[in-house]
Amino acid sequence: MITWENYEEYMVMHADGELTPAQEQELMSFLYEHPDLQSELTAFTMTKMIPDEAETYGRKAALLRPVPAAEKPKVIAIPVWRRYAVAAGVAALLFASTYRLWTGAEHTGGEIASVVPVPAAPASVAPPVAATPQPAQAMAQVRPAHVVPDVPVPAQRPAGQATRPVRKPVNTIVHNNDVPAMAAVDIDRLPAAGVKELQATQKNIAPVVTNVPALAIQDREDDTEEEVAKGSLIDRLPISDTKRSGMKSLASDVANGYGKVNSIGQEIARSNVSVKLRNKQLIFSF
Amino acid sequence: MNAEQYNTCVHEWSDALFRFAWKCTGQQSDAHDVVQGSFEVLWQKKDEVLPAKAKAFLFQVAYRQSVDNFRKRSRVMFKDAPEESYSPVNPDLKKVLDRALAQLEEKQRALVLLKDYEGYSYDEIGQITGLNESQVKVYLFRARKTLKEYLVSVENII
Repeated sequence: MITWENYEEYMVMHADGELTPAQEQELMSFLYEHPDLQSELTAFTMTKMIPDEAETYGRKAALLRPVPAAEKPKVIAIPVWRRYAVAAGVAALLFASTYRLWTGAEHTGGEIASVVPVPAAPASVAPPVAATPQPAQAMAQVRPAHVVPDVPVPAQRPAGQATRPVRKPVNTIVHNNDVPAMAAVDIDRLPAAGVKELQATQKNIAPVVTNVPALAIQDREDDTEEEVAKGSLIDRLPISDTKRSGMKSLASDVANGYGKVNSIGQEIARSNVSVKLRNKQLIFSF
Repeated sequence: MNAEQYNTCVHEWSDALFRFAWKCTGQQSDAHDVVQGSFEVLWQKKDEVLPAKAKAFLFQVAYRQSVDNFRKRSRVMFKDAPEESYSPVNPDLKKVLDRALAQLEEKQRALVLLKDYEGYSYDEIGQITGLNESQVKVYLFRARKTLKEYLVSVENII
């Protein structure tokens, strides 16, 4: 209990931050009863010393001890610009290969152009990887009509069948309504080879892209032997050999770049390293 | 504690230790000696001191060396000199507090610095100084009262 004999002890403990919440409350009640003591509490509070951070020890170097080689962490410094350069290169290759794919398809006529805007099959029908054994059946479930519209439309289902959300086409190739080749095409007017190609690839546009070697690295394990025998879809695209070889070259470059980045990432993940950014360098300590 | 951890302690605690020693001894050169001596002891005992306890260990050594140093040389310059430079026209609180600190005996001063500079609790201060908690409380009470009376008297002068 705070009295006239011990109130100063409470004030000192208040200044030192050593009072419990209950004692703080008790002190405040005492001060409420004796407001003339408030200035004394303020004076005790002002006795707190404040360290001057500018006063530093200037002889730290003399105190430091050499660290034995066994204790020293291994450090690899990689300039940040190199990392960004790799990322920019991969992005540029992706863009270039996509652009080549798009422009190549545009110049070859209606077959491949009509493939581009076709909506994707429902998620349950087929994954993006070309793994569906019977693409024509999958197509029949999704699109019974013979007309390929310019704008993706929801899949039509038989009456009584539960409707499921239709996955939108993978946004790899930008659809442009102004391009004449993108206009609706009656599938009956397409050459037979084009229709077959369309059905084979109409699950969505992703197979066209994911079968590019550079982009299908993560899916390769899922490829069936049958698909491997067919080769990538680049081989099956109706484009000239010059463009095909160019696309393959680009895809190979992308695959190599991606593979290098991926292997670096896996190496980092496997090793017990810490990564920190300092100035213009990435510091890997392990 | 290995050499790497010891060097980390140097970077983290040498400044705080220096400020504490400087205020305790009142002399910058003595503070340098105290800091150097404290880290020398830490290096010798590095196999026994855990990194988490290194700071308290350093302040324990510095406290002993500062108090011993102060007693050995019986310096009172710290008490007398600053008073001359006091200017009531510009009563900087920090300067007034520094002068008030010089009025305290060495043990009280060390305890106030451990409390205010480093934020140690009464119990932790007791472990560093070898005093029990009641003694710490009494020392700090007397120190605060002296400091407060000095501040009030200065304000009265102003």
